[in-house]
Order: sequence, then C-alpha cells, then structure tokens
Amino acid sequence: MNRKQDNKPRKNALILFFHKMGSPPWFYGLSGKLVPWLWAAFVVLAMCGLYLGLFRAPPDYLQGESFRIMYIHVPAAWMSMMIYGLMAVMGFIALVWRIRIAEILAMSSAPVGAAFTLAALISGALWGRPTWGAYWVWDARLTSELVLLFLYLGVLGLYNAFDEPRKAARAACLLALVGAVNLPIIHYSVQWWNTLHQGSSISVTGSSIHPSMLWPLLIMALATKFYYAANLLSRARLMLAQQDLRKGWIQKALVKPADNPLEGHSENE
Amino acid sequence: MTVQKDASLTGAFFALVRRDLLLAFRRRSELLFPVFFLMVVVSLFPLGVGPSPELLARIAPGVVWIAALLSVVISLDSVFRSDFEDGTLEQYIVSGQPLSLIALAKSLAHWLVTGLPLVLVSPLLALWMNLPSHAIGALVASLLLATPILSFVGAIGVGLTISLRRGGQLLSLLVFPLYVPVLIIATGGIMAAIDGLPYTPFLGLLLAGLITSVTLAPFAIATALKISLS
Amino acid sequence: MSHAPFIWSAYGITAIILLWTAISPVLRLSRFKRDLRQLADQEQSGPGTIT
Repeated sequence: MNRKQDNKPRKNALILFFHKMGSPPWFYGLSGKLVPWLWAAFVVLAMCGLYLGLFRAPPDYLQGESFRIMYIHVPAAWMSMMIYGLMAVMGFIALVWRIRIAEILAMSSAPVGAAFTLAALISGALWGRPTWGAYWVWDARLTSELVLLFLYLGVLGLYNAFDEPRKAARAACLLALVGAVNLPIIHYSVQWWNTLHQGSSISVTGSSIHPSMLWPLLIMALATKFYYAANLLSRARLMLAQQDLRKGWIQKALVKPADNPLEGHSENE
Repeated sequence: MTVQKDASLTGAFFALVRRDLLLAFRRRSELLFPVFFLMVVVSLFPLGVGPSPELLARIAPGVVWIAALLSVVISLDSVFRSDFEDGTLEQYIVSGQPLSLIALAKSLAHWLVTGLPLVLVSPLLALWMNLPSHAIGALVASLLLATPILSFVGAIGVGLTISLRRGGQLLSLLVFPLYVPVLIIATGGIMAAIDGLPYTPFLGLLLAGLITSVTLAPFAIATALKISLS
Repeated sequence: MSHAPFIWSAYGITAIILLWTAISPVLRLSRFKRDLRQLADQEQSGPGTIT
C-alpha cells in the first residue's frame, strides 16, 4: 500500500523530523546551532522582565517592595514543576520506545529542574522574612517545593549511582515517572495539610494583580523557558558526546571542526 | 521448592507467598527486628522531648507514624535481597510466570512479615505516647490500611536500587517523598479521631491508596527489576 | 526594616544558581573537547613515540 500520499506531506515531515532527532550526529549539530539563539532570547527577555519588574512596577499596597521577589520566585517555581513533567514525559518515551535521545534529554532536564527548585525555595524564604516575619514557613507551596527537590535529588542520585549510563538513565526515568504519578497526590495532600494546621492560607500574590505588575512576571516566565531550552540542549550535547566518545562521528565533529559541515556555529558557544 | 511450568497463576502466587513466609520464620530473630526498632524509636521521643503527657499526646500520631515509616524503610531491602544474591531473582525473570505477579507475592509477603507486626504492637505504642483511648482504633486502622502501601511502593525503590552497592542508603531517600501523602493522611485521621471528629474519610483515602498501590505497583516493581538485572 | 537586602540577595542567589547551572556543561564540554584533541594527537603520533 502506498503510504506517501500527496495530501499528507506534513505528517511525513513530522515523523521524519523525529527520526532525524534520534540520530546523534544530526541532533548534536542542530542543537549546536540552536543554543546560541536560545541564550540570546533568554538574555533579551530576562533584561526586559527584570527592568520592568525591578524599576517600573509600582510597590505593592500590602507588601511594599519585597513583592518584587515574585518575579523570580514564581517563574522558578513554575519551571520546577514544568521541567519535572517534561522529564517524566521524556522518561516515559525513553522507557517505552527505548530512544536514547529521550533518555539523554530526560536526564539532562533533572539538574536544571533541581536548580529552579532550589532557587524557588531560597527566594521563597527570602520573600517570607520581610513579608511574614519568618524565613521558613511550612506553607503549601514551599513544602511542596521541598518535596519536589527531594524527588529531583532522588532521580539525580539514582542516575549517578549506576556505572552503566543507559541502565542508569532507564532506572532514573522509571523513578521520575513514579514520582510524577505521586506529584499531584503529594501536592493536594500538602495543600490540605497546610489548611489543617494553619487556618487560612496566605495567598502569596494577592487576589488580583495589576497589569503593570503582571507583565514582568509573564516576560520572566517566558525567559525561563528559553533558559531551560538552552541549558537542556547544551547538557544533552555534552552527555551525547561523552557517551559516543569512541564513535566516529564524535571524533569528526569535535576534533576537526573546520572540515565538518555539522559543526557550524557550535564551536563558538 | 519446585514451581511447575504449567502451574496456575494463583497457585504460583500462593506458593511464593508461602515460601517467603517460611524463609522468614526460619530466621525468627530477624522477624522481630522491625518491631523492636519501632519500639526503640518511639521510646526515644519521651526521652528527647520530656515526659509531659499533653505534649506526648499531641505528637503521638506523628511520632508513631514516622517511626513506622523508618522501620519499614529499614526492612525494605530484604524483600528482594536474598533472591538477588543467590540468583533466584534472575530465575524469576526468565521463568514463564509474569514478573508482576511475583512482585505482588513478594511485596505481600514482606508486609505480612514486617508491616503486620507493627500494626499488632501499635496499641502499646499508643499507651507509651499517651494517645487518648478513643483514638487507638484510628491508629491501628490507619497502620493496617497504609503499611501495605509502604511495602508495595517501597518495593519499587528496592527494585531500582537492588543492583547498587550502596543501594540501601539511596533507597531511603528515594521512597520518603513518596510516603509523604500517606503520612499526612494517616496522621490527619488520627488527629481527627483525637478531637472526636469522624475519621472514616481518612481511612477511605488510605483504602483508595491501598487499592491503587496493590494494583499498579507490581508493574512498576517488575519494570524496575528488569532494568536492574539487565 | 528595609526590604532591599532581601530583594537583592534573592535575585543574587538565584542568579548564581542559574549561572552555575548554565556554565557547568559548557565548561565540561570544552574540557572534554580538549581531552579528545590530546587523545587524537597522541594516537596520531603513533605508539612508538614517547611524549
């Protein structure tokens, strides 16, 4: 049966793209070209967001200046959860279809997610001190973030405990999946636990946000996504290079960059 | 013990559970270790925070439950350790029987040997921690429903770490985040019982967790074992 | 109580964390490339030469 039908060229292109992404030299080359642009996008957006958030948004009626920490705390918290979800999805793909690039992407996501979680925790604590008087409050968000950090550390710890990289990745991906299934349960039980023990929960951002306060937040949220993409790809390239040390394509790509068409801009990163 | 190739699934299941129970009972001293550990840990609390009855009663649900978590985690490694070391685990993987069924059987046996004794000794712990007598039922029920969850979910962690040299240390870090909801719900129920409020909704949640774990965890355990022994 | 030290330290610590996370793979990759080039040079100069 002829599968190449003229009325479905996009579907074929998409499948072709995924097949290509699975090829290490192709992935290495493409990601090398993308990474500088992703970093550039992050820097531009972050500058905009930080300028607007630190210097243009008016002080909050209740919290004064300290609410500005929101512009890093909230995007970091959002990313910490989004990255865990993506890590679990990539882990699922890696386990079911045994695609090595999926394993590498999942394992490269873990340290980035852990970094965002740590940033969310520390910025949350520093926000809490001037706002509520204590560096650490066991509110629902901070407690969930702490448990999330432990989940990330578990994935990282398990991955680094094995000698063989592919086995390590598969084990850590399964753990990430189990953690992902548990995450909503953990989230809701912590939320309920918090209301049980502290009465009314404090809303960190207030009931409604003025637009001039909202824009920097959205810009920073978008900026962090570019950060994640850039960092993920550069870590994935490193992991791929280390794993394929003995293979021909890596020798060509790294040792003689001038001769290799794949290398392109990636030498300048 | 021989497992015939054409044995039925239920036959294999019960044979496995019986085998693990027999092996455990041969080392009776090891059977009691989790219980003694639990008792020691709980008795440390009055020594550490002072014997004030009101204080002990307030922290009793958390203390008993955290001590139970610690006892289970310490004993988890044994669910697959001896089979891993003498090659039986590899035999299970290449045998005709579905690995998830074997995981189910071993996790159940593990709970019977380590979790159930905790449930049986809990009234004594309630006494030590000055838990009000009307809340003891909630304590026992929560332990009865939720310690199997701890065994089954913990076995996933054991499956992942069984082939590692320092697997035991990593195991505790891996499973504690997964135990957080159980801890919150179980202690919440006991605290509701202390206040005289209905605690059956909490037991209902724990029962839901139990059913989910027992049905889903064996597949995750089997996948983990296959990865570890690949 | 001035909020400024909290704001600046929150931004500063986050910046350090994200900077370190971003830079470490780049550093490791350049070190890896350097090691690989050294390895390739040694192999090219042949097993007979003593370097």
